[in-house]
Amino acid sequence: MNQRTSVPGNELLYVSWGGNGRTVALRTAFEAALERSKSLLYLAVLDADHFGDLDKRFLSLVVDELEWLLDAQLRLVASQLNAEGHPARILVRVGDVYNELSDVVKASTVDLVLVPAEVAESAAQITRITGVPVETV
Amino acid sequence: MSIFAAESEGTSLLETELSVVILLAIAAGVALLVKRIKLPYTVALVLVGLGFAFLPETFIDIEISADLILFLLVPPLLFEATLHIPWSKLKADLFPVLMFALGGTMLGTFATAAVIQPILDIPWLAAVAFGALISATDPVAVVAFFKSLGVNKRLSVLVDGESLFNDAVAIVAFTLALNAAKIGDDGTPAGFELGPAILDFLIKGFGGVAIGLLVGWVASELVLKNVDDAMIETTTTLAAAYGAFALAEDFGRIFGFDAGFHLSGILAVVCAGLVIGNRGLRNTSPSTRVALEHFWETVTFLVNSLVFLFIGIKIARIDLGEMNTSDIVFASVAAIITVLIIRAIIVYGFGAIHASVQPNRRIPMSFRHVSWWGGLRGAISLALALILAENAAFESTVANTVLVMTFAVVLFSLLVQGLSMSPLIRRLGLAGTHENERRQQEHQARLYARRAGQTEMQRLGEQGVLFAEMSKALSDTYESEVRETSAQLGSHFRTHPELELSMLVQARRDALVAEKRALIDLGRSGLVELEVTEHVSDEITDRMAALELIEERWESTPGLPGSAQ
Repeated sequence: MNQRTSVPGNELLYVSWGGNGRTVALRTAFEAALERSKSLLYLAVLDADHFGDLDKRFLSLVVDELEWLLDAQLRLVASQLNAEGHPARILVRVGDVYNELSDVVKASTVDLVLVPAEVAESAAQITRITGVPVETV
Repeated sequence: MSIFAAESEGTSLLETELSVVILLAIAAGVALLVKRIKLPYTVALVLVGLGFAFLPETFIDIEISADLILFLLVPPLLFEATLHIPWSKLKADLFPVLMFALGGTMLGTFATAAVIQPILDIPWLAAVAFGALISATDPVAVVAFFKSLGVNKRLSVLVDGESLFNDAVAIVAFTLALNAAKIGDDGTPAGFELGPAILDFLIKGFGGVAIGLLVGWVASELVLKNVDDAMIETTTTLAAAYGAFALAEDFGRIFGFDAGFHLSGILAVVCAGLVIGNRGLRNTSPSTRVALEHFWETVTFLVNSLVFLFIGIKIARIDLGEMNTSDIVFASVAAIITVLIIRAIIVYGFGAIHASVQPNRRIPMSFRHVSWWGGLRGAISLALALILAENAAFESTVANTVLVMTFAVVLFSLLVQGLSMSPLIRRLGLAGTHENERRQQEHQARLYARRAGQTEMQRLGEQGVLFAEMSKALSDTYESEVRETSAQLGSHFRTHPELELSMLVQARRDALVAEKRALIDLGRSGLVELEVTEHVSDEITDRMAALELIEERWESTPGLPGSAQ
């Protein structure tokens, strides 16, 4: 799924880190993208709190494997929602969540960020850093 | 006589070897059997061990001594158990774990002694020794049970953590009571002084922790980080497990200042395991990590099997001298009831204290129920009771009473509490993903079976064995069943969304195994050079290790399984 080209227009960015938002929230984010007719960009951040102890080589293996898994999961969600053709892609980044979010938003056409309910308290800071509105799913 | 048999008066090495082989064969048989009957493996082993009462002692010619249990069998089990405790999770609950392990065991020791001493009229120090050896929950039994039950992770860390740390307290208190009871040259007991006893406890405890941290650091930083060889790294972890224990227990003799001086070997091996599990394994290559995991899994299975068989065998062969049946029953019942009541006071009382200190991390009442009923006693209590029985500090009648009480509590704990743990955990809704996964697998199995039936009906129809209308009717009936089962599976996934992800991870793991298998076939066919297939196979092994780490980190994140994440 990450090989697909995003449709022109704004993207909807769904971000998760620290093990949150892996199941129901992802499905809700996909539904939100469908409702708004936007492509979905799923950003998964491996932050230092949870993956900071890994050496570089192993971390790069984890990134590759996680990308594979999340890609499969996104395809599964798309299939369950009968939305196989809907553009969606995966981005796995390593580092500080806010820095990575800021970089990704700058380099894309994102106009809405979705975060899992467990990290709802970070919404204000994300908006302040990226200048993009945030909703929880 | 075989030329390989040692000519000695005692048991020859070959006889011991034969006994071990028989025990391992029995363990394998029991493991096979418990797959068919719903009985915990450890309970089944104890029951089979008890059956040895009907066999001559020469059948299994092994002296089951305290040294064998404490020095040979316990260290690898403690080490393996701590390898899998994430420091982040232990750190989050370190306060309650240490409160239960230190305060709980101390309170348990003296409260048990205070109740048992007047009831059974045994010397005060013998009652303290019994209180100490029975107050600490057994890490071997607890870890083995909780692993098989697949409970909630936090509950597992709390109960496992307590059992891993409380033995040090129990053993020190036990040793102090035993030394205080020893008759000196003047014909009176050596006695007991609180100040030196506390100092001794602190030296042994902190000394053991320091040795464990040092051994763990040396193994992690000097070997596991710099060497990339599965054989060498596996050997290093084995040496670290026994090395940390031996270095602490034999500290005085090794460093040549006092042969009798020792530190806590149990704390040493626990700390070494924690460091290697949380630091050392991160420094190993992914393929080595997989090899290490498999090695320790096998060691644990073998040693656990021997420990629980030995518990059964030792109890079956107990010699209680002149104790009559009514004394045995009275001592057993008194000990079991006392231990259960005092454990309840500690668990619920300390739980309430903890809730007032850390309200955000209060231990749920359901966890406390499991912690109370699941505080099993096993090999370490048994080993300490054997030490007491072999020691001249107490008269044989007193030693036998302590042995009876210990065996009764251990048996009750493993057989009655152990067997009722699974229903209790299910009733409290703490079964982790075990039950839900089982239901998911049942749906999958039905789906698989019905699809197979449908395919067969279609095949028979196509071959003309069944006439077309019948084949279609049967196939369509199957199709409606398949749809129904699919809907049930879908509904189950919607209720337990975490299962979908765990199934995805499992499927990916299976796929990677299939990839490796295909590469082996390709290498054998000669179409591609063996060196090339091995290189690609190593890449897949790396991916498997990465997948394992992702799964482990997902499991240890704060979102509870089953919650709408």
